[in-house]
Formats: sequence, C-alpha cells, structure tokens
Amino acid sequence: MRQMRRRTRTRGWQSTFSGPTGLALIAPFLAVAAVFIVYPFVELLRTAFGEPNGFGNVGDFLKSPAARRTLWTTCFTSLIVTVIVVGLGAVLAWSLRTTRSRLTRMVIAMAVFVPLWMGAVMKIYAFTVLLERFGVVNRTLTSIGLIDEPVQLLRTQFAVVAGMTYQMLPYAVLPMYAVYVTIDLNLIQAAESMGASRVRALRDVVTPLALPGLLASTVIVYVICIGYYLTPVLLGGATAPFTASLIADDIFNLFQPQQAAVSSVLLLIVAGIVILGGLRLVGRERMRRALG
Amino acid sequence: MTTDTLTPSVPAGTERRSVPDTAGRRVLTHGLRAVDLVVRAVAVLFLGVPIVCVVVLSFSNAEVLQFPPEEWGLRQYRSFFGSDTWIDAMVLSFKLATVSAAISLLIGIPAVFALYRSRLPLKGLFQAIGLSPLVIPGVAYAVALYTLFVQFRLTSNMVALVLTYAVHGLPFVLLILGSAMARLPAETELVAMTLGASRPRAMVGITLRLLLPAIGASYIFAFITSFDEAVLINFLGGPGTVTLPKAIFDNVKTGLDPNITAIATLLMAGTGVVGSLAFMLRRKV
Repeated sequence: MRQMRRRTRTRGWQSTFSGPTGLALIAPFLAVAAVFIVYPFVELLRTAFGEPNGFGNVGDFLKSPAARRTLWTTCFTSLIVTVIVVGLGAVLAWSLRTTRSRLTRMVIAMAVFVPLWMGAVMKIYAFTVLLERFGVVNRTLTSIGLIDEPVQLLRTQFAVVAGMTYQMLPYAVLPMYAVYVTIDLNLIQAAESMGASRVRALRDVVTPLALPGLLASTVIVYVICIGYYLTPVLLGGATAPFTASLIADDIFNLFQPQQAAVSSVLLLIVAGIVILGGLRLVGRERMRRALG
Repeated sequence: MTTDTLTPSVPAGTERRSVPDTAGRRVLTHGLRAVDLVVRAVAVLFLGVPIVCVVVLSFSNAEVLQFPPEEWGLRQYRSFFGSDTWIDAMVLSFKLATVSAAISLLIGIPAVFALYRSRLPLKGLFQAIGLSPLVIPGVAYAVALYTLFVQFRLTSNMVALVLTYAVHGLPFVLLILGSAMARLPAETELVAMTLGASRPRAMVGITLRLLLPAIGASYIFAFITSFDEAVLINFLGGPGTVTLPKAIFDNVKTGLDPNITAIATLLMAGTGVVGSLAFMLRRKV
C-alpha cells in the first residue's frame, strides 16, 4: 500500500504541466480569443451569407462587373507588389548575408531598419509629401528638365504599388535573411571549385536551399498585401479601387455592412487558398518562421 | 541565356577540368555583379529617400511643405508641442499602448507556458488562432471586429478597444516568447526542484527569470504595434477616439500638416531606440 502511494507520487515529477493545469493557464487567452477573434469571424460569415440570399450573396456580389474588377485589382496589384518585394528583398537579404564590406552592411541594415521604426500612416504621409502635385518628386523632375509640368502621381496605381512595397519590403528582408543565415557559404566555393560559374552556383546550390523559406515569405507578403487598408485608401485613385476602398465606402458612406462582409469573406477565401497552398508546399514550421 | 551553354559541359566519365576562365563566364560573373549592385542601390534609395525627406522637412520653418526648405528652424517642433490636438492624440495612443501591451503579456505569458510546457491537447489549433491576426487580411479582420462592435454597441468603448489592441499585440508575445521558451531546456526546472525548490519557485526563479529579456522584447513589440495601429481604430474607435495614427490618417485625407514631419521624426527616433532595445533583448535568449 505504502509503495503504491509512492509510485503515484513519482508521476507528479514531470517537467510539463498536466492537461487541466495547462487549460487553466491558457483560459484567459482562450476567452479573449473567443470574443475578439473567433466570434467576430463567425458573425462576419453570418452577415455575409445571411440576408437576403444566403450563399447566393457572393454570386449576386460577383455579378457586378465593378465588384469583379475591384477584386481583380486587389489580387493582381498585390501580386505585383509581392514579386517586387520578394525580388528586392532577396537581393538585400543576400547582400546582408554575404557582403564583407562593413559600409555596405551598415547602409543596407539602416535602409531596412529605419523604415521599420516609422509607423504605417507616417510612411503614407511621407509618400504623399513625395508624390503630390508640387511634391518632391515632381519638383525634382521639373527642375532637371525631365518633364515640363507636374504629372499626376498621387492617387494612381503607381502610388499604391510604391506605398505597399515600401510598407512590406523591410518586413520581408528579416525572415529572408534568417533563411540565408542557415546556408553555408562554403557551398558556393565548393560548387565553383568544381567548375560551376557563380550564376550556376547560386541557381543550383543556394536557390534550392533557400526556396522553401522564400516561398513562405512570399505567401505571407501576399496575404498581408491583399488586406492592406491604409495604402490603397489614402494613395489610391478612384479609377481602379481596391477591395479595401470598396469596404470603406460600404461601411462609412453607403451603410451597407452586408456588402462589406461579402467583400471581406472573398478576401478571406483568397488568403485561405494562398495560405493552405503555402502550408502544403513548405509546412507549418517554415510559415511560422516567415512571420518573424 | 542559360548558364549551361556557357559553362563547358563535362561528358560523363571524363575527368573534371580545373575552373575554366572563359570570356563567357567572365561576362556572366561581371553581369551578375552589376545587376546586383544596381538592384541594391535602387532598393536602398527607395527605402531611404522618403525618410530623409521627412526628417529634412521637419527642420523647415515654412508654413507649407516645400522642398528643399528655404528657411531652417524648429518651427514644426514648436507648433507640434504647442498644439493640444496633437498632444492629446499622442497621450491617448501612449496610454492605450501601455495598457494593452501589458494585457497582452498578462494573457500571453501563461498561454505560452500552457502551449510549450503542458500536456494540453489542441495546442497547434490554439497557437494558430492566436497567430491568425497576423495573416488574416487586415481589412477583413477590421470588418469582422466592426460587426462585433456594432452588435454590442462597443464603438467608443475604451475597455473593448484596449482588449482588441491586446489581442492585436498577442501574436508577438506568442512568437517571441514562444521561440525563447522552445530554446530553454525544460529540465532546468526539474533540477531546481530536486535541489529542493517548490514547483512555483522553480517556474518563477528559473524559467520566468530566463525569459525576462524575451518578455521585455515582446512588451516593446506589442506596445509599438498598438501605438502605430491605424486600421482598426478607423472602424472601431468612433468619432471621439482620436489616437495619433487616426489623427494623421484624417490629416492626410484632407491636407498635409507640416507638423507631422516633426511628429514622424520624433517618433522614428523614439521607436528606433526602443526597437533596437527589443532587438538586443531578443538576441539574449
């Protein structure tokens, strides 16, 4: 009898908490997450698929050519931004990883970090200052004689792409750098010593090693891009609106939360497909690391 | 142009030659270097120019934005500090961020213990829910919260807003603290307990103490996130709740107050100091 009691006691000496204790520890988190994450989305889906037409709401919504075009603009522009961000980001991250010059490293590190210290709205403010009719860019271009009079830069697709790239690029460089750090640079020398050119070494040795991590970053960048609100609303024009602008219009001017909910659900579907694709391709751990 | 045609191909079975230095290879390598240099320069300029412009313009004495400034001085800074609207907005953002980041920690620390140090089932699901605000398209999340706030008439309710911001900062706690916790060997607590420490004491004295730098870093990240938050506030804040990002958002919509250059410069400096601190703290674990 005494021995048995001792044995049950030894089971208590574990480095992990029991299930119930864990539940108690995580309870506040679950409560808050239920109210502020899970419930809102249930409600969003109910609004989107509720009155007047159930699941037909999405079909009704997509019947309008304007709505279709908006969704297309959002997805396509985000794709362009993602390609630019991943392209530039990969080069910057690779330079940070490989450069031996302290100056280069410092300049790139500053260029990546300082924008991170600037809030999202401040960045948009900066772009407005740069791109407005009598802004810095137009003045510079006129004074060096490239253009005769100021061109429309603000409230164009160009402004949106530039603004979104600016928001996203620094965030993308950090996880990409983390991916490159795991690659042994001696591999390049090894490949070159066996006759590969630098291009070939980068293509056939570095790229396969870095690809899953870069792909994870691509997915995250894309998903964040389609959800951008500030940049399209403040820098974009009326000719090719983003879903975000449409949503803002529905809620603040037309008072049609149901339409806004349908737009949001469509964005969620796109994001869901992209994320699931990413998870399928590179796995959960890599996606988590791409978050930072 | 593929590289295969340029590198001499070695038939199978023959011996490898030493690295050949052909003209094609030289062109390719130099070309690569040139492209690399150009891309780097463009990217660095693109990232740097907006910041330099804002900082330079903040030291202009003109009443309207003009580049390059004709007269230098601290006018923007003086008028920012003299403006009740800007200062009130700044103070509100500061209070919101301080409290909501603290709540993120209060909720997040025990949650991380449960996620990494317990036999709780469904850990992956809970983790995914906690991180989801980071990957859900921001505007969709804002609309979802908007339906909640409208349904329960929470617009302009400070408690609801603080909790929303706390949830917004939570992913950073889960990520930073989680990866720090994953690197701490769980056995250290057991060692302390065999040496006579009680379970709570081992937890606080060993694990929590070793996590302190990560806790500091996640507080800073959650704070900065809340302080800069400009999307949710548009949907949830109502007309009375004007945080600093909201005030700037409204201003960019209507016109461009040059005072914002001073605010941006000051905040960039502040965030730079605190953010670097967080970065260093993260490296400690």
